[in-house]
Amino acid sequence: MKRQAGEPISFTVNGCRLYGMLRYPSTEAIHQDTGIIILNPGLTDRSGPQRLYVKLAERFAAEGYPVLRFDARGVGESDGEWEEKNEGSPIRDLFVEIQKGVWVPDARAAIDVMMSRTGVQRVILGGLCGGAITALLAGADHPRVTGLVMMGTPVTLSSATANVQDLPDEILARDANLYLKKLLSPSAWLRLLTFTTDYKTLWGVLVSRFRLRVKASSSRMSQAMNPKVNSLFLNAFEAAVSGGKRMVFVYSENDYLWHEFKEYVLPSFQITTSVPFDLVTIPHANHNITEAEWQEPLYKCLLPWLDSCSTEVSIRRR
Amino acid sequence: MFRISENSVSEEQVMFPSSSGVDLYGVVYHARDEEKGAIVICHPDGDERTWSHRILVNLARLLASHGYTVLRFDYMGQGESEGEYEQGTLSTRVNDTRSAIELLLARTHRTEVGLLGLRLGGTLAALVGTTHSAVTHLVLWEPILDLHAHLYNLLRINISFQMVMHKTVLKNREQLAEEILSGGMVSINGFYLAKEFFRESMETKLEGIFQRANGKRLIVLLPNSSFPADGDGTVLRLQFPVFWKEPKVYHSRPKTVMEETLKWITQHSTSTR
Repeated sequence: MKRQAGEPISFTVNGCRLYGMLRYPSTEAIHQDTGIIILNPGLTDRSGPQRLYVKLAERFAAEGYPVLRFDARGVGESDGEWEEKNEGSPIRDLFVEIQKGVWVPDARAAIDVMMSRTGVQRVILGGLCGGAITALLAGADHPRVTGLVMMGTPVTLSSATANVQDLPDEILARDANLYLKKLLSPSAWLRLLTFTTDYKTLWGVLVSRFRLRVKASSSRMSQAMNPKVNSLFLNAFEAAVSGGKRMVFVYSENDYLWHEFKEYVLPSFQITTSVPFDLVTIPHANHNITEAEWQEPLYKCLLPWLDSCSTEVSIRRR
Repeated sequence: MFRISENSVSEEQVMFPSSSGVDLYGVVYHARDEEKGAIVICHPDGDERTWSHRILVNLARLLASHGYTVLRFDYMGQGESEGEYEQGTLSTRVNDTRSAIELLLARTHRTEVGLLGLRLGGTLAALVGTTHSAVTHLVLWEPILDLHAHLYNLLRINISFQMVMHKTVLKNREQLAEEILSGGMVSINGFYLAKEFFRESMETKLEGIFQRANGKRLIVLLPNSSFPADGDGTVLRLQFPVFWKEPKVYHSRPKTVMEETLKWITQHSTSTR
């Protein structure tokens, strides 16, 4: 029944006090050389959606890794504030700040904390969504970072998908088909005629679907990285590849970010013989990997990956 | 878009035992200047905790900066506390609240405490307030008044999930309730409803609970929320964002509700050591 929660810790970065939880390995320190840091997914606290981060930390610690989860500035229990308008700030704007690296200094400071507290020499950074992009931006060229676990990584800036027309083609096709099916639904017609339909989205989807058909008939997909990709993602990705970092991208199949990755990033690698990262997809899962039946395959793929990552580094060092 | 704010409140992370049998995580926000009273904050449940977390942190800091020592803690199986969410029942949540009160009383050397709760946290504060003699003040933000209806609203979330996943409803609310009561678990956005919490909540009648609770009471409601006539408590209807649900617009300090709460606490606080 009892769960060893860990040791509450705090540390200061640029005048902000950050709060976290450090969990020591619950078995003999098999991976005494490597620690894992899990980074905030977005504007929610370090326990993660549905406590996913707490559960991941428990699994990783059981495998012998020390694990640090902490709240970056402006989120959870930590200091720092987002500048807010009186009527509140659109969440999308704050996500863009995260995707531009606002939490990179915090993640880098956490690496020092992990090393000084546990004695590890190597660190694996990971996270979901905002945590994934922060891991890449902070760890790509950090000499102590050996691996990156990126779950549901946004590859565009959130502002790029503010318009329906900018969504991945696969999502547009799916939504357009849904709207077409609704032509047979009396309740959908009732919503349309009583002005309760989301007309803006409906129009955006149908217009984009038409453009998609025109595009498909007149051009072939370029092999270059799609210009919609966040340039910071691209630069950090290239730095991580040239720095020999191990990377695993994990995507849930029911996450629109997976469609973005498939459409904007993967085509660039189809011409190469070796892809410089591992890729795992979780069938049926949603963005936050909410269900226990989706979390089990996540653990099953990550634990051997982490093991191979830390073992490979140990061999290299010898 | 981001600024480093000066946080002048002294904060202390604590792990403390609950009579539920696990260690709970909390943060004590020490009163700045002369201490006027002690307040325990009771968070809402599951997903609602996730979305309201930062606001309750900011509320704790606001109260501490105005002279109150505040304990904000996580219930068993939630946030940083030990245990699993599905092991928590209504009784464990009541026990956890009582343990949090004991910790804060011991830390402040006081005999009186106020409780401030949001949603289910408000209901728990009222339940504890009827039996704990040290509770002299209650502030309840949109408390859940009907646990039966609340559970069935939660089950609707599972039904929406079924529609997204399967394009149809495989199990209706009655079937889901039956599944839980026969020992199964039902996911509400990944927080699993289990038998004991469900059964206890179904059997707990809240009629009169807000009137019977000890001490002075402030109940803050949205303009359209229903609430039974309350004897001597203050019911304040305010327009504020529903910050315990996933937002499209970020609010870290819903001004009206926080300012009115602080004003009421300052006016009514006569807590003694």
